[in-house]
Amino acid sequence: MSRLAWEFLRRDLLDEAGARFVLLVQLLNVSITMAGYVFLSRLVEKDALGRWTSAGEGYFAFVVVGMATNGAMLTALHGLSQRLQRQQASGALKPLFFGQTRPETVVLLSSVYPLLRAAADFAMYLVIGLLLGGLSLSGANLVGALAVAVLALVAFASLGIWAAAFSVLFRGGDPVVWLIGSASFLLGGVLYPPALLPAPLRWAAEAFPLTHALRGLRAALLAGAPLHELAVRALWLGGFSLLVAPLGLAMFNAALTRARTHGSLART
Amino acid sequence: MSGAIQVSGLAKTYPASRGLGRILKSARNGEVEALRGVTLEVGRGEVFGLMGPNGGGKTTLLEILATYLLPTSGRAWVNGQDVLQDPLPVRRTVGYCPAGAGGFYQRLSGRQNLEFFAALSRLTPADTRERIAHVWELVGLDRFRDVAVETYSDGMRQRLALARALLTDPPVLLLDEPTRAIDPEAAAFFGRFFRQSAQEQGKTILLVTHDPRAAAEVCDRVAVLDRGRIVEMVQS
Repeated sequence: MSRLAWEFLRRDLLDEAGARFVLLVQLLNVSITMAGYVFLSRLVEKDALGRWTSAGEGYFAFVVVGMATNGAMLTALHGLSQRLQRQQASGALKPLFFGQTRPETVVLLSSVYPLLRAAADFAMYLVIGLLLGGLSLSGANLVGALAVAVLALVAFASLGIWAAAFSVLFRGGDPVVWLIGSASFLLGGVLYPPALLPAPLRWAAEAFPLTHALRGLRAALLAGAPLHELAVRALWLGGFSLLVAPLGLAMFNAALTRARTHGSLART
Repeated sequence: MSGAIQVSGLAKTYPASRGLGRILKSARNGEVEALRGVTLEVGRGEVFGLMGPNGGGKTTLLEILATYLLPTSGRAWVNGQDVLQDPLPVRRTVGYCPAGAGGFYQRLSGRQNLEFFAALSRLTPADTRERIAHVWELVGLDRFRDVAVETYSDGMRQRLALARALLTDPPVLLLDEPTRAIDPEAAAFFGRFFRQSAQEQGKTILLVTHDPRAAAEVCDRVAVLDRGRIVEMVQS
């Protein structure tokens, strides 16, 4: 299994290495966006944010963690489905899913690279935040943050399997990414604390992993919260993955069966 | 069950697209009947040709046998394994070369592509090295093994697709126009190779071709599929 996992990872790394320009553009995009928030944060007084959050961080630090987690979520969410869509167009899905490896294994191993990319995106935001100033991790609980980040990424990647199932079903459409991405951005607390939302939206926000990931990561990175305080977030994210990933795999199998009926897996 | 491939009353109708417009019109007329009750048997060590006009159902038949597609009705077995009930054992015994030679990772080299598919087929590293060396030599792509597939010509991609189909040395080969973009000299070589593989190694080969001369030279029998039905069976 480890050799097979390595082959999947190597395939995706080699494929991505051929698109270095895309990575450079993404780095520039993140840097420019975060530079914008440096100036925006000057408008938000520290006390104003302090009324809504328990941590005493400035707005820039608040937003860096928000954007980093949101960026990682989007990468984990659409990384797998984007890859499968490309392979669907090139005809590579057929030999991929109808070889001698079970589709569930193929999906899980295909999720490894998007997961690592999401982790790299998260780190990239934090590094840029540190370089631009305004973000300090001197009091951070890095071990706790790492634990919450890993669980958050797995939770996002579990939703990514749902997105992949939809992309196989609709051949290019990706409603899960759009729906969850937009709703999470609105409700999850990326740019403002969810406490600012009206009560029904605050309750709805609890259903999204981004909300819990952000609470845990901000607590660990910005307030140095100890592990026992992070346990609730970690348990929520772990439980979410345990529920959502198997359902996603079942849905993906159903999508494959439908594609075998319709002959829509690819046109070679 | 004596035949390596057995097909009984196989039918395949592609469902109509369920787009919003069609749902509103309650239309069923978008359905396509690709196979209409095909029955045939291919013996071990036999090269069986499939000919016929475009849209006759040849590729659909191959894709059902390769477990890529589900039939609407009827049954099919490959090496005694039911393609519907036991798809994984079927996949272990089948090498499929699709028409058009798609299905590769364009930024990876030919060798990297084959290494990936070898891992997917659970070949050991030693077997992978040995089999890749063998099929490279066979398909004549040796000079281009470390070149990205995106730079390959159509003929080279076709050769690579053939190499992938032969990678696990499967007893059953499903070949959909495997020499379509290949020069005549090489096509004749592959024709002789298919014949030899069947005679000497007992490989069973289902070969789709539009070339009557190649079919006559390579195949033991040829069926003509037209509008989803076998309309003629010829003994070569």
